[in-house]
Amino acid sequence: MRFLFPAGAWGFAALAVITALYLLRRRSESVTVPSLLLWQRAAAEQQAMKPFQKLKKNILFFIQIALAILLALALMRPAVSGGVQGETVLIFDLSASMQAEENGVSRMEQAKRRAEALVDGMREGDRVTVLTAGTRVNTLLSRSEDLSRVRAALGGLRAGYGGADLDAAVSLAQAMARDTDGLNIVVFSDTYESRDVQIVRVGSGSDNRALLSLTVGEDGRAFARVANYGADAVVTLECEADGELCDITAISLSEGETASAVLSAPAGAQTVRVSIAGADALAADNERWYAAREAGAYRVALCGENVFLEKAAALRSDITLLRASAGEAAALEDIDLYIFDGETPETLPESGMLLCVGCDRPILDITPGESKDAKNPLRAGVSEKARLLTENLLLEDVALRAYRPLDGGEAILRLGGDTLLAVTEQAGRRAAVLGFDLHDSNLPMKGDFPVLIQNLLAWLLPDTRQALRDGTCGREVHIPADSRAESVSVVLPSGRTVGTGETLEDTEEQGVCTVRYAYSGRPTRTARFALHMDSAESDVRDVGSVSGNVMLGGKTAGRELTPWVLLACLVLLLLEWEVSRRVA
Amino acid sequence: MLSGAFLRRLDALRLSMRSPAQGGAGGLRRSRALGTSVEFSDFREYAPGDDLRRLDWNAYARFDRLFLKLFMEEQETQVNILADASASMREHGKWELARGLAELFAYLALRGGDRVAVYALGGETARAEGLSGRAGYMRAAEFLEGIRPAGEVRLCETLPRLPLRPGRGVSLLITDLMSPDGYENALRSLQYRKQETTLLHVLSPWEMQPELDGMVRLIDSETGEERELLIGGSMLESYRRALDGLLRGAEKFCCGREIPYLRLLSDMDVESEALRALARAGMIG
Repeated sequence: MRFLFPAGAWGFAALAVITALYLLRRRSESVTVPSLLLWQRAAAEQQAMKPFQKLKKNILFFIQIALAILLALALMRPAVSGGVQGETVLIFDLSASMQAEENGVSRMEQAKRRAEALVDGMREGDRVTVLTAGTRVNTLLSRSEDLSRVRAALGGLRAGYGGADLDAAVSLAQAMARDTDGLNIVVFSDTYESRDVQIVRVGSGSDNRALLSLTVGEDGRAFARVANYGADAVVTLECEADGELCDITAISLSEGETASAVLSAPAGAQTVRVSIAGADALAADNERWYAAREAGAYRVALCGENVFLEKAAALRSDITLLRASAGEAAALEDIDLYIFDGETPETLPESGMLLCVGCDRPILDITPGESKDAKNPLRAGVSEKARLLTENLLLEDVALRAYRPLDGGEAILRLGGDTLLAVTEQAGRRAAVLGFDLHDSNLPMKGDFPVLIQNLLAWLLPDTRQALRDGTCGREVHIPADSRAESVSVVLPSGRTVGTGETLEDTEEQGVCTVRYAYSGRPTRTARFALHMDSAESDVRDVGSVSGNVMLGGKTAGRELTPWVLLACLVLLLLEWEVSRRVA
Repeated sequence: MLSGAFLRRLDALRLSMRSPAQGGAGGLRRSRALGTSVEFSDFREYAPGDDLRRLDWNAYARFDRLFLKLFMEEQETQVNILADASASMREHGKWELARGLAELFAYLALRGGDRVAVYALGGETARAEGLSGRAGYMRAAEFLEGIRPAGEVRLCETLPRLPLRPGRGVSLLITDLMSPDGYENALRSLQYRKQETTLLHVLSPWEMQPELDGMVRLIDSETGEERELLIGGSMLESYRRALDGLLRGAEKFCCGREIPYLRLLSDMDVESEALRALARAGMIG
């Protein structure tokens, strides 16, 4: 048995008070009687009837002493072992810095060992919750009394490549603490600082060098940025292109210095990997990848002889332009975008996006009206899409002779109360309609024209390759959507394939990832990007200062006996009342 | 001392006795002996030496034979009044009643021409003997007035040793029966000594219904012995059973030994309630 509130032992002072009261109480009244003869006979009869009669005169005293003892015990909150002893939340920092090794042991391994030692000291019935704090907080185990499961969960812990949102994890644990009296919150981390929780500090601080970025130009030159978080050192960089070592260079870095290095790789290399030779505290930030974007694969049918449109569209590297007449266009296969300049076929192609300039036929739900003279200045629409599609356009000096006001769709450009440029989308099919002939305007002569066309193309044919950016482990990566794709999946560096939407959340592995756009009846398109360790985790020279011995126990831990003791007090109170009543 | 008016009322009463007087000097109480009283008893023929004054001359004239007229002899009776004057009688007015009863019986006995001896049975026995006539009553009253109940009395030890006048007599024992050695042998000894014994059991209303509660230290008035008792309903019940046992025991014993027994409470007035109780019990008449 143990006591959760030993200071309650002061309650035993009541024993001295009760004893003193009994000692100091008025003695029994003396009465002179003619003779004790009859009283002695009565007492003898009582003695024979109730052998414990002698005790009766002091029974109130004994009851009150027992009551005082029980109340003092209740104040001390007795608890027995074997029951629920306490509840503990173990929070693990899974940031990349926990991979740092010191004396051959990673910080993560140190944390696991300390946690296992803590679990070994727990008793049967202890409840353990295991939270991991990477860039997201995960609950590995919730209020488990099975310590073997706890140990298994600890054994499976791995540090990630991103940061750690320990504040969120601690907030979650503290929310649990509001419902659980005496909850122990223990954080295993190398950097976390807080006075509100118990922290098990791992790591002692080590020197580390890190690759912070890598860019490869079209000529094959690779620009690597290297940081030295430690003593002065000469850092050797190795460059591999498509798996072949192609360059090695060494740079001298003083303590805390960050410098760039240029390495040579073959032009057109698809994958370039630069790494720091030699070991340091943190290996995860010693390599970085560059994944080359693939050549374009969009097929665009340009119907009409408009050199302005052709030049503007050709600025997109991922577009293959096919010239055809409006009548021939429908016969072309696998066309992603049809551009009709002035002339539109009677029957629109069944698939593919549409960009129609100066058309006189309805396009999806957009219907051109009768030609009108332009008298008002051009201005952008007010919708968010209008703002996106007119981004970087200067419309003040655009002159226009005549136009066809458009009915339907979403207005992008307006002239007075009429719509000059409208876009629409039906069942994943997008269309943009420009309501005037380019020859009736000075717009093609202006720099705004290619900008407008590129904006429209970006909307009609999203540039999935250019929009795909390298990401940081632990953070979401935006995967550009392709409305034609039936499914989008990502092949992670480990080879694991995960389905995804516009956001890839599973970014715990670092390396080169491949996005696969699967189309119905068309070849799958791929795009690549690299995931790198969060460079903010590379500086492992310092660890947090707050730490201390972990004290488990909990104020309400254990199978508390206080309710039973209080029940016994109640019974004694009733007994005392009955005895007092009988005596009276 | 009893009031004069009460004594005058007592003049009309007599002390009742079941057996005639015997062995005493001449008195006013009829005896079995034939003597000189006015009450005719029998005839017998004259024998030489008989008192010629008792010859029945009318019978001689009628039968020509000498007959002697016999009359009942009136003798005095020795009345012993044994008053318990132990310390227990001091409590709750018991002695006042016992003293009044003793005076009453002494007066009635003396008024009946009996000889009276008064014994105060206390730590040390005091007595006033040879009392007779009205002067005897005054002596008896003064004697009783001077008694202060004290000490312990053991009836079974004390009564057999009392120097009673030899011969038959009447003994009135006035006591609360709170004797450690009991009372049975004491009464037996009186009867053995040819005493027509009467027991007047004096108790106080407090003894009949003690008003005690809680933890009480009881002190014996005779011995000074102390006893601490937790007195509640149960203990009082046991006391009542003990008292009932004493009373029933005394009644049964006296009934079996043909000893008149009368229980009197100390709050009784001698001149009214006690007197009526004695009359109802046939002790006076």
